[in-house]
Amino acid sequence: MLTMMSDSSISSSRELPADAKRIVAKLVLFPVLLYGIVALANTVFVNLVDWRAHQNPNERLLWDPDLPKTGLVILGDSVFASSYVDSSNQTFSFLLQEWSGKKVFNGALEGADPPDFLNAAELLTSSGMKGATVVLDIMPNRFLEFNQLENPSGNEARRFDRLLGHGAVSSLLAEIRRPLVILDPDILMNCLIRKKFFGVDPYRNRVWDKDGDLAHRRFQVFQQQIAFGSLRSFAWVQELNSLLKRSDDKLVIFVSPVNETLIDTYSSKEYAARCHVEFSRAHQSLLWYLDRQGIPYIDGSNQFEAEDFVDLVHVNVHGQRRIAELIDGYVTEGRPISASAHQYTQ
Amino acid sequence: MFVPAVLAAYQLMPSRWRWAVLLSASIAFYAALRMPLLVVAWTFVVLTSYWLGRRISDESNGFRRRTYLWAGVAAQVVILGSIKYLRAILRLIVPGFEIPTAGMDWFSTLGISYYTLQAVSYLADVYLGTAEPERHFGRFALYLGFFPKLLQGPIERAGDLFPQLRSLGSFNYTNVRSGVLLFCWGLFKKVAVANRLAPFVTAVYYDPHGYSGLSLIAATYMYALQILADFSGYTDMALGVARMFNIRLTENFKSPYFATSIADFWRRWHISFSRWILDYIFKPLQIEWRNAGRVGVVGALMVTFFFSGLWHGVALTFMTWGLLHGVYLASSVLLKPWREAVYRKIGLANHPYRRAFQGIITFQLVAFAWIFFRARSITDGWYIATHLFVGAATRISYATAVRGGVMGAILNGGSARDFAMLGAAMAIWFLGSTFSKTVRLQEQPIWFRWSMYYALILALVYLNAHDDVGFVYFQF
Repeated sequence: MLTMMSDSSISSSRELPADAKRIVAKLVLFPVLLYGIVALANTVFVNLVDWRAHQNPNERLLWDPDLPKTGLVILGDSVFASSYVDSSNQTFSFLLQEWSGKKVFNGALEGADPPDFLNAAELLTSSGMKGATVVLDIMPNRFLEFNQLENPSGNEARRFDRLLGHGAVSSLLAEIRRPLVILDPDILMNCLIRKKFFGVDPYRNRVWDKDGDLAHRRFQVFQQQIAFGSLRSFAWVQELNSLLKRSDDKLVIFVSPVNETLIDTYSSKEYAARCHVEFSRAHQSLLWYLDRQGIPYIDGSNQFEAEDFVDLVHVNVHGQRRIAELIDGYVTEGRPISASAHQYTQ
Repeated sequence: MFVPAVLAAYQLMPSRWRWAVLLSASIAFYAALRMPLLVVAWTFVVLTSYWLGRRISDESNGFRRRTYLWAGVAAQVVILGSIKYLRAILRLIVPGFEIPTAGMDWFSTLGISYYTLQAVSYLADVYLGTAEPERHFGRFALYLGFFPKLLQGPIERAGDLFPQLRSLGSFNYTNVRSGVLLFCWGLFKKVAVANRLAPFVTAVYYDPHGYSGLSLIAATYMYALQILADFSGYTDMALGVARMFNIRLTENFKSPYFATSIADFWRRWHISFSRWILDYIFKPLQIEWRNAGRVGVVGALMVTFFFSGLWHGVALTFMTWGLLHGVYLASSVLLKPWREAVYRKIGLANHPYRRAFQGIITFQLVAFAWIFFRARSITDGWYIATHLFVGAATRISYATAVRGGVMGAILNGGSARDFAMLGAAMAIWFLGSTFSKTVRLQEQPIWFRWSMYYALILALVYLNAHDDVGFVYFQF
């Protein structure tokens, strides 16, 4: 390879003065020409290819350069990422847009953690989002202790780094690169090798106790990982609220429900009782914290039937509809927020 | 930003002080790794080998010269052994011993194997009179610590590097351009080829018992390619950075998998290391045991390659890998007459296909030895080696075949997209390497050169695996 890279020997020095202008001109022209070629290719690509149709809707925040400037923005983890449906028009965000008449952008990400929510908010606000209502889902069990350590930088830190940059130079580069969707290998590959994002096992519409043992296996993993003890910090919620407030965006928390019937079915009476107590503690503490911080919330607890669930926390098509109803009730009708912390203490 | 900053400082400095820029940058580079013991070890190696090199040169008494040489060699072996096995030694004395890390890695051995070997070669060359001792302490420290080669070689000889360090030239556009290009090519091999192969290899070698014979074969071939792309990628990056400062480091790889014999393989693989073991272990032993004839040569080969394995780590896996290469080479010495007779008998003696046949056989032997190099334990290595042709079609699931096609089925994982991108990266690697042997890029018109540069940049953008996989040879 070495001969390709240069002459066979190290060249003698002292070339600069005579060639200085030529070298500087090349140094300027090289990146400008590259940018021009890529920009041209990008224009052809976005105008000729229906590329958006082939991307993963559950990762839209990470690939769509047209981030929302206002309207209703959804953030969250797999509960809001709407994986367990058979088509995109069964997702709660689709229904919500239909019913409310508002533009809805679903930026939830599978497996997202608090650092990812903060990164997502930073990305949105730095892209010009102002005056939007941001609905974030939080599972109360997020605040329980787990044996498995979370990544302190979040699960999508690398991809957010590419979008946000670390300093002035890389942020500028990220800003320049973002509209050039053709530079994203995933976008291009999704167009070349097309994937189905809904209705493919295990991500399809299903009911937890009527369709295989997925829910049971997941609950067993949950039992292995959960370590009941002190609750984890809520401080990131306030940090997120402050970040959004700076751009006049309003944070609304959707306290997502838990499938309690599943707990009763798959565990002993003692274990189920302990789960209910711990979940109740986390739930009440969260609501108390949100009240104290003045952060509005939609409490999804006690609002769902067992048939709405795929497993302990994820919802199916029925559950998606219920989520859409609850959020729609809040954003269009100003329906009062249900505070149903009592359900765990019964 | 580090290299451009050093390049700017280097250019601004008068030529007689350029060594100081490179030395300061090298020390800063090593210190930035937050591995304090390694900086101490490097300082020790520099001080001892510098002082003893001068003593060897200034001394006329043969016995004392030899004593200084062996004292120098012993000092390097002691520091290498102490740093490499410090944690184990401390835990032997105080069970469960641990130092609070405070952001530091106290027990890293990064780079030490390379510069201690380089120090030994310097002392030996000065002793044998094949190199002049370096009187300039700063330049000597730079010889051992020049940052592009500090962590993973090449292991440079005094006669190759000192003349270049004594006349550090100013900015040279041609060298900077070709250096940047070589760096990018090395980066491509690492991030697009090696890092894309790594997950498949890791999955199989992490739990070989869960895979069929076909998977074990595929993962072993993949590892052979991974380690070449990984190590030669790093070397290209090191050579590219050095070239920006007008320094030419030793080429470490010359298409090793096109070798037609194991001896040929070692002339093409990790060249600076194989030259080292050849010159400082094999040749002295061969001379020492010359009266024993072929047995002496075989003995020298076995000892040399046992050391080669040992240098990679005190583990049965590495020792087995080294000994296997020793056995290969010893067999080729002992069986040479018989082999030629067989070639004559099957009509391949002067046939043009002979080289291809030898190349294929050599690659199989090398790949087989890699099994022990990569395996997590000698038991795993043995299991893989003995199950390559067992249960070839078992454990292949329909689901993995649907997702990843033939390769997905064989490796029990991976999607069609993963394999498409891996295939594209491998094709570019192969075409780029072949192209470079026939076309001198710098002599081509500008539109062609720039098209190649852009193609490489875009290949890096699209095929980058975005996985944080460390360099394989950092562990040594």
